[in-house]
Amino acid sequence: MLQTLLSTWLTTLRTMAQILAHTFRRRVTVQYPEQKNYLAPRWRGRIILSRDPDGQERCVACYLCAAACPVDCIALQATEDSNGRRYPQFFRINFSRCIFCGYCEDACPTYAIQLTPDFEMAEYQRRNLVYEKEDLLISGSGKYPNYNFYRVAGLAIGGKGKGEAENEKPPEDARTLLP
Amino acid sequence: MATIHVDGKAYQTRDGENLLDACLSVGLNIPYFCWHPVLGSVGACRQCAVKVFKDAEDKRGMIVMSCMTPVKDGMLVSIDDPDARRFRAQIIEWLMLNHPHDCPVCDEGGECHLQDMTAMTGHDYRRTRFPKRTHRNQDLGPFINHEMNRCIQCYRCVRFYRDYAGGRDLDVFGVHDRVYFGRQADGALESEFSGNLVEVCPTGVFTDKTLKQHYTRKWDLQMAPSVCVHCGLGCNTTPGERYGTLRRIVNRYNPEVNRYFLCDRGRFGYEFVNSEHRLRRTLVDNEPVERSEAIRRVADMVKAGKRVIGIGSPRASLESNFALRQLVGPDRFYQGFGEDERRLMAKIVDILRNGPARTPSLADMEKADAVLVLGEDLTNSAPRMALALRQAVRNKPMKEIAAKVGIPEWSDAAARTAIQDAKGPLFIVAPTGGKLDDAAMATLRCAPNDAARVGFAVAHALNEKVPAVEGLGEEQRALVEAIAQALREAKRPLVVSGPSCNSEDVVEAAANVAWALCEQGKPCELSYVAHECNSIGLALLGGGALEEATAAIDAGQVEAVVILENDLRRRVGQDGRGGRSGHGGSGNDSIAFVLLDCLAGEEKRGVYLPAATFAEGDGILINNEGRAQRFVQVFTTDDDIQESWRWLVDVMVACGRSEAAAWRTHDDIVAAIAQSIDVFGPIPRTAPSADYRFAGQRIPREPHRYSGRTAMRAHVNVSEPKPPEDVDAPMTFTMEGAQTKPDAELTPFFWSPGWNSIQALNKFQEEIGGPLRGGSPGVRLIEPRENATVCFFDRIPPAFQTRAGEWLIVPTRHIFGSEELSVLSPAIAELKTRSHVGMRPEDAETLGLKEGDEVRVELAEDQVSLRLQIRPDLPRGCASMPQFLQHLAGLTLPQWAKIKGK
Amino acid sequence: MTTTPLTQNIRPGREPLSLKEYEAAGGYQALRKAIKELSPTDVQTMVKDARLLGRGGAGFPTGLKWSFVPMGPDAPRPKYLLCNADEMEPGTFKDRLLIEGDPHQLVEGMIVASYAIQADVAFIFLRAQYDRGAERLRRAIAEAYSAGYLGKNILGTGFCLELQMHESAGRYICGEETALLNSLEGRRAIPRTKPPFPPVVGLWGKPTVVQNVETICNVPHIVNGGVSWYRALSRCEDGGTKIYGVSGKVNRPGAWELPLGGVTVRQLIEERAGGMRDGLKCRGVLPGGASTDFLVEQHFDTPMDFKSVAKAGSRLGTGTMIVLDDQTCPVGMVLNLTHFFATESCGWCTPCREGLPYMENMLRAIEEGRGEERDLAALEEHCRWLGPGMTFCPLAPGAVEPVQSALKYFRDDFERHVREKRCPWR
Repeated sequence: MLQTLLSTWLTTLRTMAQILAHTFRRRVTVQYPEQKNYLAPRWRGRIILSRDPDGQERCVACYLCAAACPVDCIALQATEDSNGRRYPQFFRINFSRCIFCGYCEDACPTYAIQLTPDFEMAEYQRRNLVYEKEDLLISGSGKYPNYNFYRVAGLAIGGKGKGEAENEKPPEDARTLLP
Repeated sequence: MATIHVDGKAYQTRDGENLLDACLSVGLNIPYFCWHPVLGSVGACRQCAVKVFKDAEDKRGMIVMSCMTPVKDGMLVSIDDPDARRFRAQIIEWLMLNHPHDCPVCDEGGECHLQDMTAMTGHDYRRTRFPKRTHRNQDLGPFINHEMNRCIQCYRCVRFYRDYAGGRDLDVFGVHDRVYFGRQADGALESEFSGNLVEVCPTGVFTDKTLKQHYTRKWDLQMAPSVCVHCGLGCNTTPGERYGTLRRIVNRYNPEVNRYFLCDRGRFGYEFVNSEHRLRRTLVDNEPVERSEAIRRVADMVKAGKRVIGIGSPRASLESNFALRQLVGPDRFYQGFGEDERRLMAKIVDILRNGPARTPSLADMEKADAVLVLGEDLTNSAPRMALALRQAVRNKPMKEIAAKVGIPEWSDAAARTAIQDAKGPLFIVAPTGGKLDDAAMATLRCAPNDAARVGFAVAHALNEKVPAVEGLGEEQRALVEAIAQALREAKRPLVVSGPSCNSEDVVEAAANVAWALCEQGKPCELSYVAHECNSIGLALLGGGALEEATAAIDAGQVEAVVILENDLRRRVGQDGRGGRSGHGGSGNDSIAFVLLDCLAGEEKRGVYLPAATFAEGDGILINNEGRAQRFVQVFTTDDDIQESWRWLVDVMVACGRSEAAAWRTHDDIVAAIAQSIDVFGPIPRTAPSADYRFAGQRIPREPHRYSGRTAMRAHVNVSEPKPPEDVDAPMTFTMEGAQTKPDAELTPFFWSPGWNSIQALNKFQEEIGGPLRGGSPGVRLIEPRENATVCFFDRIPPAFQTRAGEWLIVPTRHIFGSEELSVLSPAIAELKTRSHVGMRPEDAETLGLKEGDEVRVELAEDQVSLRLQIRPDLPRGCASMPQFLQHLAGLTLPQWAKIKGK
Repeated sequence: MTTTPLTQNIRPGREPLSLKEYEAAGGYQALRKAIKELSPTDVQTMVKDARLLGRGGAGFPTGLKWSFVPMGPDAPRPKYLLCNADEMEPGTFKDRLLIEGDPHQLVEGMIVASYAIQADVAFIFLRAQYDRGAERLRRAIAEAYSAGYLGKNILGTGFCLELQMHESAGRYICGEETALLNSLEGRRAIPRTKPPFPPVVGLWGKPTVVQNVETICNVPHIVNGGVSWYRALSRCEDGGTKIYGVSGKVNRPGAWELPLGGVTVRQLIEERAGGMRDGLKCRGVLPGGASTDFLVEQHFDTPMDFKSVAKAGSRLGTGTMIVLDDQTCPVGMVLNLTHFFATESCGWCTPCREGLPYMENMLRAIEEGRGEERDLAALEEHCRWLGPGMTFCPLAPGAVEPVQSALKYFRDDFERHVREKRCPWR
């Protein structure tokens, strides 16, 4: 009984001391929006589609982000330009469903889809959270400046023929009889 | 049976089978590339290595290729052995040395056998630092995309294309690591089965070019079990849809029908579903109206007491034809065939139902050891059957040559070496040559009458009771003797014929041959080609011919006509001879027209009700074998489209017809058909009913990785709609439901953990190449009559006589062009046969004409101007014209004509 | 009788014997004897008893091979005898010597062997580059036809044989007997599935025996001289003589007919080839063409017969050795050989088609100083996974033999290349 009483007193005192100590700590709360908090470059916020160093769309419409998305909020349709380069005809993210898990970025084989340190996308209308490709595509290469998928892929596209990718030999001549 | 011990566990397998097949059959996983269930083993890729031990004492064992090792009783095998695993990983490493970094932009990605096998062997790190070999691609035509960099040299493509399908223009070039699979020069692949390369190729070298136009990954497709509608064979297919358009068709294995392969018309003809010519809204006199309004208008037209006739269709489902027949009454239901075809189909059905000869499935045909084809160019009229017969010719040499030296059937390269060019008996007697001719032992090109006479003579040679044929030529007599002997000696003889010659004599002659053998107690099978997907179903249903319908219209006995999924211009010709443009030709505006079709006609007077295609509706089709098969709706649309039978039921309900009120679902109408017509009694067994549940759940049409559900419609409405419900089939239009392998009739796609490609099929079969778990889809409606008294046909036609200055125009059919729906697909349209008249080179020379010249063909009632095509395969005194090609539609062929140069 | 039956009529530097000269030297006597006095089975038995092993490299007993051929009236016809004269093994030139030196001997051998298996048609499949041999063979065959040794009713006995020469399109793989069959049929030269073996299912699906030139040339002498004489020619349990050859930096490279097993590696180099060229030392030899394992100093006293060489860890192969001296880079040598084999792979099975070029890449990297430590391990692994049983035919297992033995005996050299990042011989 006495012991219980003692311990109750002691905890109460300790709590009070802690609260008192906090009065002298540095303040954590920032005066948002006047003041912005620091967000790490890898912070998982608003999703963008980036471009490769040549300024072309990086997305090759492989559908992996859509497949990886646990809430199925990415829909797109692949198409091809006259030179065989693939890109999305439309690319839609329903941010009213997005949980910003970043799986799409992990799945992306071309570094096209990236999550950015930006969360300021609140809307009054849910439908305004449906982003189309025009809303997603930025003009830079985002976090991965030098990668260009088509430079390592075997597919020929406009401006890069067969055997002209990195670490490739020129095309074989199937007809030659010489060894 | 043999018992094998794999990694310490005993399994029962078939004796003499190869070890790979045996292990896959019992559900074990061994990676493989060059082996294929029907192409057999050649031991090229070395991927399926396992370890075999001599006995329990043997600890070292020996690495062998499981595909090349016959199963022996008591065999000790290890798949898990570390050496075998390392070797398999090494093989994959070698295969991947030059494989490009293409998966994201490769159409095979996500259903790639190479991806699956790479994951299976555990190869996940690239050690090599040396540059990759590259290749240039070829343009292989509108069906197939070529990307040679991805090739892993398994040789399956050329083995399928050349050895299995008899193609000549795809081959392997070069040697060592430079081998190249392609054509001598760019150009469309010539084989009618080129589309199968997409499935045969384990990676993305050969991919579907039509899919590329609207590319979607396998996991994003909504799929359902379906049946091909482009000919009468009823091959099973898996169509896939995304965003409301049909994206592609792949093969759906049916052990009795198409097995592993489809023809290109079946695979690439699907795009008519997305065609701009589709009718999507209900129209009244070319103005869109509400559905209910349209139904009310139709109900007014066909109300009781009115003189209404219905014209059915061989390309509409059994349910739709039945509903129309119920609406107008059986005596006012016309089949929608022209008179000739109606008579032929009725005869065929009668022969098959009342005669002693059994109608075989395609799989049965592959097992035949002597075949007579009478009056058909199968490659064009029933392509998949031609492929089956190409395999049948191997049966006899396989047994007599290869089996004698102990070569098992699966050892493909060895068997082909032993057999060389030896062929089993296949005889083709037809008015024109065809691609199957190169597999035939002997061919005869002759006029339809002579073909029939040869048939009658063969029957007589086999059985004295059949009347003899007088006045056969020397060549014909020798051939008759050869055919008769081959059929007599065969264990599984087969006679194939059909309506392509438009000759009743040919159909009867074929029956005589089969019956001649059956009468002697020999089980001879008899198969007739059917041109359209439900020709047999319609023939079984009965009804008058189209000519009778037009006669009734002309006689003014008709107030309203309901035309079901039928372009009548193709059957009885246009301008004034009946059909859609003239609406029966009487020009009588007092007749009301109701048209149910998936395609919009040119003139839109009357009520147009948009009918569902196979992809948007449910139904049953009956193939040439008499097998009723169910196609299940693949996707729903926002348009007015629904099945024709639903429209007709709606109309009947609006008319106050009490019996139709109960027909709300597919099951209801199927039950009604089964009840009212005896022959269709078994059709409820074609597929489980809509209240069936698998493992307590419905079966999902969408794979479990289906993506974009909360975004695909978000641009229209950010709130997701409730998924449509399916009242017709125990399936869902979502990814929710039973995630295990459902019944064969309801398998929407083949997928199994670790097996993303179509080769996941291995996991759905009871044994490799055998029946599907849960039986083969379809119910046979036609069985031969037991103890039938054989009544041979005895009307032998006179021999064909040539005429001076005139030619007998024989009809030809064309895989790309003769079928009305598939030609709406851009890829098929690119390769379709153009209208022409075919002439022998000698005849053309006499007239001073050459290939491509414009000639005038003077028919009995008509004159047409056509380009000349030189056809050395025609018999003397004959010329040819394609049936059913544009502006040649509705011609009655064969008929005599004069041909003149311009 | 002679102790060098195969080469007795060869006159170096001069035209070969014409038909007349060959007959004068006792030629076509074996044919007369076999066809008139002996039954086909007698000839088969003689060849079997003479213990004639195939001279093409594998050393398979010839009589045994013939015994697999279906005989008698029910046997499938026609039957074929094929002479494998597609001598493309690097360092091997013994068949060329026989073809160019004494074509009639080969023709006679073909007829006698055909008689033994009752073949109806015989082919000589000649290496593409052997133009002189082709010309001489063509002449010899024509002479044999006009003398009635070939064609219908040979020597009035009723035995018929058509003999044709076919010049190869020039692929190493055609030396593999089933690839040779495919090539002769006009197909791609890729090996066939075995079983069935050619004596059962061969050319155009018919029973076929494929023999090396040297093997065939031995046959008339067995018939002529008899089994015991023939067996006495050798110094081991197998019969006959063997043509041995030496190439490389020796004083007198060449080929010599010697008793089988009657000479050691050292004797061949020192006594026959006149020793190594000035100041060079022999580091190792590939005893039977390029696709055999190296033998080194410790094996140099091995007699050159099939069994002894196998016991030393290599194969007698074709019996024509390539000598590696101490001034030549062994890495460069095996790179050169691997390059040859990689480009001569037919492209059918994965290990050979992909594995050999990978090995070549690694060897080239090592030779050019770009090699890495892990390459050596990877090479060893490749040698294992390209070994017998792993590939479809023996090309790749043969191709890795020099590499695997070089890695064993000359490992230091490989390691120096990697360590010093250059070829020490350059």
